Formats: sequence, structure tokens, C-alpha cells
Amino acid sequence: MKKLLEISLGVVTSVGGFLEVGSLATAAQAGALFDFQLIWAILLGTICIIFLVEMAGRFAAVSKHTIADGLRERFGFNAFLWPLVTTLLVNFLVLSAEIGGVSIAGELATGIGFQWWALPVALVAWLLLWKGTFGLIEKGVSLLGLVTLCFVVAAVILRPDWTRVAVSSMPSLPHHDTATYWFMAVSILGASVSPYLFMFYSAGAIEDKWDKSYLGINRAIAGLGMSFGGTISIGVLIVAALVLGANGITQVDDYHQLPLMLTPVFGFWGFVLFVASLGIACFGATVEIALQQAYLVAQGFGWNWGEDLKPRDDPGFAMVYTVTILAAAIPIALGLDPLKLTIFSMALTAASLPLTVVPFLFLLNDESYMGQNRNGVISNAAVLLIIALGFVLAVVAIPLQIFGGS
Amino acid sequence: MSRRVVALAHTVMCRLLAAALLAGLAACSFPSAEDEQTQTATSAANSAIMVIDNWTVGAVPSHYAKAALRSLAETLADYDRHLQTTDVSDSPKQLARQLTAAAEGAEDAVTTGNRAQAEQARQDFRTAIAKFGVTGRAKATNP
Repeated sequence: MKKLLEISLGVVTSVGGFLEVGSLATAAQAGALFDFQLIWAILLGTICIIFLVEMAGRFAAVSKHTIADGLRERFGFNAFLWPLVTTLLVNFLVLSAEIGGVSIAGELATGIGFQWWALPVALVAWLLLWKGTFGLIEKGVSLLGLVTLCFVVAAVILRPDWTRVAVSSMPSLPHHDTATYWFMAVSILGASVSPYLFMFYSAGAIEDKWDKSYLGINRAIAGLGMSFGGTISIGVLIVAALVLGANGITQVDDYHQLPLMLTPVFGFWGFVLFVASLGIACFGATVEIALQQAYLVAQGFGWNWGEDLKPRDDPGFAMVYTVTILAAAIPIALGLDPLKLTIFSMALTAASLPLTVVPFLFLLNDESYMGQNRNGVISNAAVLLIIALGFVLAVVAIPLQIFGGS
Repeated sequence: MSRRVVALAHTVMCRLLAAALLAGLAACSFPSAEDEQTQTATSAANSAIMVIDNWTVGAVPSHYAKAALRSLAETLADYDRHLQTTDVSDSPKQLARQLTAAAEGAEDAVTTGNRAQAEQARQDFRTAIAKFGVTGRAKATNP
């Protein structure tokens, strides 16, 4: 009974924490321009993140190491610096985009420009990190994030052609805007397979003191939680296709266009639900990414760390999330367009995945860490294939998008 | 031995990337900046219609509708400015002017709470978008 409760809570928090500004913006743009055609990219990303989250939890439960900790120990500090710096940079951009997402929600709710919201949002997130516990952040914010299920409800109410939805789960070539199509596919992969998702999960497993008895729970949470999370992203794509695309809005370049997705279904409550979904989902991601930056640096340098410790007991850890969160708010406070930053940082995430995921796969295949719980051929092959695909697509699509392909 | 494997892997990866880049470049068509801007302008105009519709029935608050219409008007004004400086016929230039004027009218309507003016702006948008479609088709058949 206790295990069932833990699984349910884990699944619920994974679902609530899945959607953030990256998955929302990329799915909305993809749905508006390419109808259901890019559903396959969300499915591929979801499969990859299921494997990675399961591996992250298994690694923590079996080896009692976090990913950063394991990488530094296994490869040495110099080799560890590459994935560390890459992940810190990508996470920083994504964190800035998430603060932008909450700030947009603030603007939509009050009419006060998003720039004015960036620093207050950073301050509230910092206060939560300073005063709160890991349980409060992990479960509290993620439970509130269940409001994002409104996109799935809206998708069902809009009654899409489910046969076409099913057909779109297989990759197909675009009929127009070729470069944009691949760029969107890359951005979707980057949004789904954000390294902070599985790294945060691994640190959380250590914070919650998981051992081998949690392997079954871990598998259930990774499989069910991420699948339901991916369903929300597909819900956003379907709603964008049936509302924005169907009304001739194929280019979603302006964040003011986004709240229009839910109003035809729920009326004024659609506007409220959109603002709540964006605000809560991005705030949850803001707190998690800031915490993840602190985990990475503290674990990488071997400092004291733990969200449940008092800041005076882990000053380096507290300093990292303090500096990161305030620095990430600055580009948004200066007026950088959060939507453009989001799409760009998601594509960069996909391009950087080999550097963060491949060393992790080495750890998962290392008998000295994993014993009999090493990776199987299927999980190794699936993750490598998807990461390689994301990387190649990113290398091709990002320059084309920047230099004016379509 | 291991160095040879690394060197081979490096060569294979480089060739794969080069092939992917070439295939990508070959597969992608590059439409004119004008086509791309027209698509953006049409999307902005259709978004403005949706904002007006939603505001009229009370599905979005006035502060949002005003901000959204201002932002969309800026996009349409950019498009208008772009067309005025390029070598295109007068018809698209006039349509761009109509769209910009409709967006400004819609923003005024929301600011003053004038639903009749908002309805007029919506009609202006629809007319201009319909003409855009005709211009686009004419261009496609007679490039």
C-alpha cells in the first residue's frame, strides 16, 4: 500500500512537472504550422526521457551517487569539466527562458510588462529555495502543475481525427517549410530531453535516500510519469493545430498568440487556465533548474549539498542557486523576447545532448557502479539512436534556420 | 589500436555530419524573405481577428486584448514598412496599409470599449486577408 502511494505520488509529480515553457512553446509552434505532423518528435523525445529518467533513478538507487558525482569520480575532474560547463550553460539559457515564461504569465494576468516581472519572480523562487525543503519543491509545485492537464481535456473536447493523430506518430517528410520543420523537430527533442529533468531526478533520489528496493517504483514513475507528461505535450500540439492552425495562425512568433489556444474551448476560463498553466509550470521548472545548477556545481566540486540542509550548512550550494537565479533573470528584465530565447535554447539543448548523455551511459554500463543492474542493449541502443538523431538534426537545422532556410 | 579506432570513428562521424549537412541543404527550399514576411503578416492578422472575437464575447480581459493588438499592429507595421521599400506592385502595398490601419483601429476600439469599431476592424482584416489570398494565387499562377 505504501509503495502504491509512493508510485502514485511520483507519477503525479512527474506529470505535473513535465510541461514547461520549452515543451509548451515548441509544441504550440509545431502544431500551428505543421498540424499533427510532428507528434512523432514528441513521442521520440518522451521515449528517450523515459529511458534516461529510469537510468538516473536506477543509478542513484544502486550506486548511491548522483550523476555529477559519478561522472567526476569515473572520468576525473578535467574530463568532467566538459559536460559540466555545457550543462551549466544550456541550463542557464533554459532557466532564463522559464523565468521569461512566468513573467509572461504575470504580464497576461495583470497587463504589467513581462520585463518588470523577471526580478520579482527570481526573488520568490530564491526565497522558496532558501526557506523550503526538497519535498515542498518536488511535490508542492509539481502537484499544482497538474493544471496543465487542461490541454489534454481541451484536445479531447476538440475531437481531433484520431486516425490522423495515430498516423502522425510515425516520422514523415514535410510538404512545406522544410528547414523550419526539422528545426522544430530538434527543438521538440531538446524540450523533451532536457538534461536537467533526469539530473534533477537523480539528485532527488539521493535526497529521498533511495536504495535497491526502489527500483520497481523508479521504473513505474519513469514509465508512467513521463508517458503522461508526453501526453500533455501532444495535447498542446493538437490544440494548437485545431485552434491556431485552423484559424490561419501558422506563425506563432508572438507570445500574445498563445492564450488564444484555450479560449475557444473554455471561454474566459481558458484564458485563466492558460495563464495558470504557464505560470505554475514555468515557476516549477525555474526552481528545479536553479536547484539543479547548485546540485551540479556542488556535486562536481565535492561541496556539501542538500536542499533540506540550512544554507549556513551548505553555503557554496546556496550561493550557486542564488547567483544563477538572479543572473538568469537579467536577460528577461532587459527585455529579451522569452519566446525566441525558449526556441533557441531548446535547439541548443538537443545539440548538446551527446556531451551530457554519452558519459552518463558509460556510468550505467560500468559494473563497478551498477553491478548486476547495468544497462541492457535495448536501453543503450534506444538512447544513443535518439541522441544521435537529435544531434545530427541540430547540426543541420540550426544553421539553416539562422541563415534563412524554410 | 585504440588510437586507430578513435581516428576511424572520428573520420566516420565527420563524413556522416558532412553528408547530413549536404543532404539538409539540398532538401531545403529557400523562399524569399517576402513570402516569409507575408506568412507572418497573415498570421498576425488572423491572430488579431481571434483577439477581437474573444474580447467581444468577454473571453479575454481588455488589458490583454489591448497589449496583443498593439504587438500584432507592430508586426503588421514592420511588414508594411518592408513592402514600401521593396520592388513589388502597388496592390500588396495597399493591402499591408489596410492591415496596419485595421490593427490600429482594433487597438483604439478596445481602449475605448467600442464594440462597433472593433467589429469594423474585424471586417477590414477579413477583407484584406481575402485579397491577400487572391494576390498570392495570382502570383502563383503568373509568377
